[in-house]
Amino acid sequence: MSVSVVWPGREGVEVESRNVPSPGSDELKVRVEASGLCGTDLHIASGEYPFARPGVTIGHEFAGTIVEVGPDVEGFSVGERVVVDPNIPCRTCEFCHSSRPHLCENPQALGVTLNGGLSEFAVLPAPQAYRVPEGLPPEAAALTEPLACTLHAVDLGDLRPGERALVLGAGPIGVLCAALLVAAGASEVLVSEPSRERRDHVRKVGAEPVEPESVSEGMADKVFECVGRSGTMRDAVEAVKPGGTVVWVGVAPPEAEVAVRPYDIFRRELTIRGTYTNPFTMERSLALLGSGRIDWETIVTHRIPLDRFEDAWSAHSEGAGLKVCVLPESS
Amino acid sequence: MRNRAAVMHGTHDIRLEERPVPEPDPKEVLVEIKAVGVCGSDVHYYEHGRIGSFVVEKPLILGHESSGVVVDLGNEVTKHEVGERVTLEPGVPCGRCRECRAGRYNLCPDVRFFATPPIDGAFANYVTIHEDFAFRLPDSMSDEVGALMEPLSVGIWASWKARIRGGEHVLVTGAGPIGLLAMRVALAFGATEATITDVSEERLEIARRSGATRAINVANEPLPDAGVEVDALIECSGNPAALKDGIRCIRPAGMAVVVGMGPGEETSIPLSYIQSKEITLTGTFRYANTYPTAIGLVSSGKVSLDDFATSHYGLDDTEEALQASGKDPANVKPVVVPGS
Repeated sequence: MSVSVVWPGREGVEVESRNVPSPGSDELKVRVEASGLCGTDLHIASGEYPFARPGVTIGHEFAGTIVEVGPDVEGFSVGERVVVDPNIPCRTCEFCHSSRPHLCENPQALGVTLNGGLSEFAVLPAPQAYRVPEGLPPEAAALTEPLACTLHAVDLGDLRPGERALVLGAGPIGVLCAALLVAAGASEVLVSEPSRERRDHVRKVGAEPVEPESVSEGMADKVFECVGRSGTMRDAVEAVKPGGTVVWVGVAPPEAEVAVRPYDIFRRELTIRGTYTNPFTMERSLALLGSGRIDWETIVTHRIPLDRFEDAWSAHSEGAGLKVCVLPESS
Repeated sequence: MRNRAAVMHGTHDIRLEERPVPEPDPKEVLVEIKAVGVCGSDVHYYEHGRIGSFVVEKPLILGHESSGVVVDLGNEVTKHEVGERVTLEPGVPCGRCRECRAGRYNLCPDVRFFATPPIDGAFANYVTIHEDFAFRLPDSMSDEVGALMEPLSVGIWASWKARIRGGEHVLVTGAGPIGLLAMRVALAFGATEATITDVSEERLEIARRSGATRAINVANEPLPDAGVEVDALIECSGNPAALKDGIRCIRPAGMAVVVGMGPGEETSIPLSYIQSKEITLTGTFRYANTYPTAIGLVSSGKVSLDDFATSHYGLDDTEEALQASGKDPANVKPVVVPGS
């Protein structure tokens, strides 16, 4: 039996003991060693995430050790440490066939539609697993997925090394974004954030925190909005240089709207891009974490064992620190 | 003001001569040169009198990696003032041709490039240059590091062409100054693994100290046996075997960027590998629009060049500076200091 965090299909999550089966032919079973909490988990718990399946074990940012290998699996063996790409494309639709699996028409996702990793054990399709470099601790490995999502956003921003980048918001994604921009050779990375505590995190990853009031027109070549509010999305458009790119990374409420002036887009030839999940970025994300380029210790601010899940959930709900990571039951 | 210059009269023939101090054109600045790096191409002209179709037919001043101080302004100059420390981008393009207008001014057929016959270079006390091609140096940057913005630009251009992204593995073949700088730039651009090859153990040692995650002496361990798999190759040796073997290390859909100049006009490449893996192969010729980035990378600390210059010479020892790297492979970057 496995202690698992379940979304029952109504508001909230519940910790229960459930059976985690043996892996199917092309699946792996892992003992989960670290599982990060994400904003999506809050959306699922509040019933606002239409794709979530009632009764699902949540948790999609997780790493663990293989304890059982399905009979048809090649290339993995018991005892190896892996991290999981939770997003499973159908591999047959138009989007999957045109190298955009993240836009798949019939996607599945561990921790959303299929049982995920906020659990003692988890079962996953073997192609979703990536080997963890030696020496990378579980809570760092569990950052691979959010870092991969952010890396996709940074890729879409098409930053040329040497440029000046601006990040709006220093939540977990904003700080990861800043760290990636620093690693990608931006000569200056400014992060606008009202909270003094969060501004300190920004400094630790090598970026420069600024007061939101100091964000001004045309101040950066590339701007990454990591808040998810209409106001900051609009600020991002104002702050980018002519010919620049704005990436809206933050997740806005589905009904939100942003006022932008088409004339601005025309006259300043701006590009505004959306970014969704982590296509083809898991390996590079792991390489960045393994190389020490990303200061994950700054990002993971909470490590809480599964038997104190309530504490982890309330820290996460209150927005305390940056990344809340759930570790196995304390023994 | 006296303008002394180290003038090449023929192969292995450098003479110190006095030249008139050049008069800046209306849009030019007059610069007192403080430091000039010695480049492999300077050495090549000195040794062979030509590079490809460029032939030294008249006396020529070599040197194109330079920095200095603005001492006089043409009457239409608006971007600089006297006393300003600058690094010089040594190629001034026509600004009017198809390539210039497309932003690839490095491919301008009429570019006037220092130390490329018949245009004189910077082994001298004074040069003039169009104000757009002088870039203000931050106070924190020394004259000699300022001069190195030129070879650093070659490395930046190569990494841009290679489309290096965070988390990638780059292979640099050849650990000369350009290879070493290209590697440092690739690391600054987010590459997490940098493999470098050479046949000189001294240079590989410098590469290890500069951040190479793996440095292979291909004299002992041939590249095909080394199990190297990379996203991009930056070829900086000019060795045909390095290009051929390096391409075979590239993962499907990866990039091969040729920076080093080979001995011949033609070379053989593994075409079926390029076809079946969809490798993109591109050359590079100098660089364009790199100077602000070069200055930004160094002043922000992303690339350190403090240890890069390996020896210093006065203008009257220019010939010795041109021979230095050939005599000692560890003497990677000799620098001429005209005022000394």
